[in-house]
Amino acid sequence: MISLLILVVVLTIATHLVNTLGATAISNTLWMIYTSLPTKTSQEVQNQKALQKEVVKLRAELRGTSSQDEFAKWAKTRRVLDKKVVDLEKLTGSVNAARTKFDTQIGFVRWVSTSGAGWAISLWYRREPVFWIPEGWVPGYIEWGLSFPKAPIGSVSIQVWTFAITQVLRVIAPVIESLIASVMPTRRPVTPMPAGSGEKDKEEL
Amino acid sequence: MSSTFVDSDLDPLEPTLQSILDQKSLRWIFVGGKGGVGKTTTSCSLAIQLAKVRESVLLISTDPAHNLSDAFNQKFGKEARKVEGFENLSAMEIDPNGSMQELIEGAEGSQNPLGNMMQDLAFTIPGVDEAMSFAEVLKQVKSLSYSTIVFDTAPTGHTLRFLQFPAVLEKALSKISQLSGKFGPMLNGILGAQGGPGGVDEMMQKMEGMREVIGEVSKQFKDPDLTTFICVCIPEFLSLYETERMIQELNNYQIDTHSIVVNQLLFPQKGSTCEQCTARRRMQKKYLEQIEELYDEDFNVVKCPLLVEEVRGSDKLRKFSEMLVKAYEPPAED
Repeated sequence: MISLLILVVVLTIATHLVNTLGATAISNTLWMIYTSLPTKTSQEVQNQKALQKEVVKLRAELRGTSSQDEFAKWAKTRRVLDKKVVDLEKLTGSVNAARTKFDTQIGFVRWVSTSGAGWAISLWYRREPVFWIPEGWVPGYIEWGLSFPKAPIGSVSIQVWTFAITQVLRVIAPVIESLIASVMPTRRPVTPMPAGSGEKDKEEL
Repeated sequence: MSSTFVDSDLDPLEPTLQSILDQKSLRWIFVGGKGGVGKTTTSCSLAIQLAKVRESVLLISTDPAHNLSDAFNQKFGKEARKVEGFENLSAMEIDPNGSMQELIEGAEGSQNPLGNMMQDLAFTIPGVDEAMSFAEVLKQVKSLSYSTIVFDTAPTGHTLRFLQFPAVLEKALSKISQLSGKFGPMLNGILGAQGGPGGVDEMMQKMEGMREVIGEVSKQFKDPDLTTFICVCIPEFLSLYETERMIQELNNYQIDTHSIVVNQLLFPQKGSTCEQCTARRRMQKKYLEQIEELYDEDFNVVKCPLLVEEVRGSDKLRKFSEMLVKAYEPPAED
C-alpha cells in the first residue's frame, strides 16, 4: 500500500488540477470521446450533424429558388426543409437530454474520485498517524493541534496534513500557472518575434 | 359551359369532386381558402351536388360576413332553414364570435368575480373560441341528424387552428384546475359572501366539460372517414402560397385533404384582342402548371372558369355546381 502521506499529496493535487482545468473542459473532452465510441448517442450526434448540414443546404437551395417562377419546386423544397427541421429539433432535444444525463454522471464520478475520495480517506484514516514528529520539537498544545482531531498525540493527523498540502498548493499553483502562461506564447507565437530570440526560445524548449 | 367529360390521362386523380360525393361516410366537409377566391360559391355548389346523392345536407357558414344569404338570395339565420327550390338542402349562418360573446355575457350575469376571472383565463387559450363554437354547432347538428354537413369557413385560414392545441389546452386546463384545486377553497371562503351559486366548483365543472367537448371535436375532425377539407384557390402567387401553407397546416393537424378547387380561370375566346385577358391568362397558366406539378399526384384538382356574371341564385349555382363533377372543357385558344 502506498504511504498515506503520498496518497494525500497526489489526491490533493489531482483535485486541484481537476478544479483548475475546469469541470466543463473535462466534461467536454469526455463527451467527445464518448460520442466517438460506437454507441446509440454517438449515432444520434452524427445524425444531428448530418441533418444540420442538410438543413443549411436546403435553406440555401430555398433562397436560390424563386417562389414565383418555380412555385412547385420551391414548395417541395420547403416541405422537405420543414420536415428536416422538425426532425432536427427532435434529435437535438434527445441529444441534449443525453448530454445533460452524461454531465450529471460525469460530475458525480468527478466528485467521488476527488473530493469524495478525500473525505472518505480522511474519515477512514482519522485515527492513523500520517507521520510522527520528533518528541519535544513543538510544545504540547501544538502537538495536540497537529494531531487534531483523532490521531495519537505526537503525530500529524490526516486532516492537518491535507490542510497543509492545500495551503501550499494554493501558494504554489499560481506561480506554476504563471510560469506555464509565460512559456505558452513562445510555443504559439502570435506576434512576430525578433529572429534571434525566437530561435533561442526554440532551443530552450 | 361544356358538358363533355374530359379525363386527362396525365392526371392520376380525377379533376372533379366526384370522390367526395362517392365517399358516403363523410359527415363533415370544410371548404376553406383566402377571402375572395370563391369559397362560398364552391361550398354552395358542393352542397347542391351532395344534396343529389345524400339524404339531407346542411350548409353552415361560419364566416362573420355571411354570404350564404347573398348566394341563394334568401335570408338565413342561426336556425337551419330549407333552401328554396331544394328538398333536402338546408342552410344556416352562425357567428363564431357571437356564440362566444353569449357565453361571456352569461358569465357576467352571475356577478361572480372569480367566475369571470376563470372564464377570462380560459378564453385566452388560443383557439378556444373556435373550438367552443364548433362544439356548439356539433351539439346542435347532432340532434338534427343531417347526413352531411358542409362548412363554409371564415377566410382567416386558422379556422381549425384549435386542433393543433389539444395538448396545450389539456395542459392549460389541468393547470387551471390544479390552481383552483389549491386556492379554490380559500377563494371561495373569501368570496363566499358575494360569490354566486357554485363558485369555483361550478366553474371547474364547466372547464372539464369544455375539455371533453374539444377532445371529442378534434377526434371527429381527424378521422379521414368522417371529415375532409377542400381548398379553394385562384391561380395567383399569394393564393397558391396560402394554399400550400394551409395544406401543410392541415397535415399537421392530421386533417384529411385531397381536393383543390382552382377558381376564376380565364379562358379568352379565340381571336380575342383583349390584351389584359391574354396577359392574365399567361400568368394563370404559369401557376396552373405549378399547381399540376405540385398537387396532381395526391389531389383532385378541379378547375373552374371565371364567369362573366356573378354566381348568385339557385339556378346559377346549380349550373356552376355541374363543373365540380364534370371537368370544364375550356374553349379553343390561340
